[in-house]
Amino acid sequence: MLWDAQLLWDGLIYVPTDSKKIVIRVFLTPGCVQNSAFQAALSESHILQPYVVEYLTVDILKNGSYKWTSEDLVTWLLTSHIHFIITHVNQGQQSWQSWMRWDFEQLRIQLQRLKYHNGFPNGENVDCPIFLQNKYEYIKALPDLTNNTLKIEINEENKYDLNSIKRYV
Amino acid sequence: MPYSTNREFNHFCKDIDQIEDKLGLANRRYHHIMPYIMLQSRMINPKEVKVVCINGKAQYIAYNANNSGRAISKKPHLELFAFAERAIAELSARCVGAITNGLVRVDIFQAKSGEYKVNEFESLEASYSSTNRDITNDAIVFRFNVAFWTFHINNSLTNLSNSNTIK
Repeated sequence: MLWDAQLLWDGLIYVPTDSKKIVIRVFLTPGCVQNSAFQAALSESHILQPYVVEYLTVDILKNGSYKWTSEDLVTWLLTSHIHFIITHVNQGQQSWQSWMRWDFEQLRIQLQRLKYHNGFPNGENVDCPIFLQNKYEYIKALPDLTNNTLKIEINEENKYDLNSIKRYV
Repeated sequence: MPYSTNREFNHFCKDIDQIEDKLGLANRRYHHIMPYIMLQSRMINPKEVKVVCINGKAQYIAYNANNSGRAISKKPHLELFAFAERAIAELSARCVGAITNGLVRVDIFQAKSGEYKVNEFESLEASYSSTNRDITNDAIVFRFNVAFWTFHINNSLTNLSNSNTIK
């Protein structure tokens, strides 16, 4: 990948500097299930102009000298003509989210910035609870079809309403 | 645990004291990372069946090597498949922005009452290899995924062309 991370701190440019080429930026995980289908789709698409596809994987986030934030990730995607996220953004929580220590609420807010950017997901799809793996959101939407579930918000004081838990149990 | 896979923070608690202990652990481990955890009753039958759906239609049951418990459905799985399709249709209707026109895998339990229950949905990272390693099934889903991404790439190119960003 030729892209220089420093670009992000040189002025938050929201269009690629080389506008002669279509810049497509893709975020994925190593071994991403959708990658082979995405590659096949790229080769079958009608891209008539010169283009460049840049990939950002979890390895780069993890192993680089710069500590990426969720804001950096979304800014990197926004600094393209077309963005793609072809993985669940949480994927491998155990294996990489723990390393990144990103606040998922912050990530969810950052992803809102993709709403009006060309690519996938955008628009209302950035709120898709399956894409986000925001499990309580879809459980709440389907009370008759899911197991009865109590949502417990993790709080700074480590104080929980045990009465509501007792009522649930 | 939301925002996670692979049974992250999956604990069986026998009483309220154990739940309280785990809440403390969750607080230490996930505070400022995960906004919440979920408490659910344990299924007596732990068997979970993963139904692969494309564009809202159930196709087959995905392979799952680590699964024990009593079978919850028999071929041709009509009732199970109808349930998976209903779950996707209702999610689509009730949840603005839900991406249900692509690959969605519906993971299903059976409650003591016999009712099916959705355990979770997966999409972009859903493993979809079929139970009997039927490469025809796998190939159909692969081609569907290619068509899904081709649509989104072409659609984005059209939008880009209309916006005149590229000279």
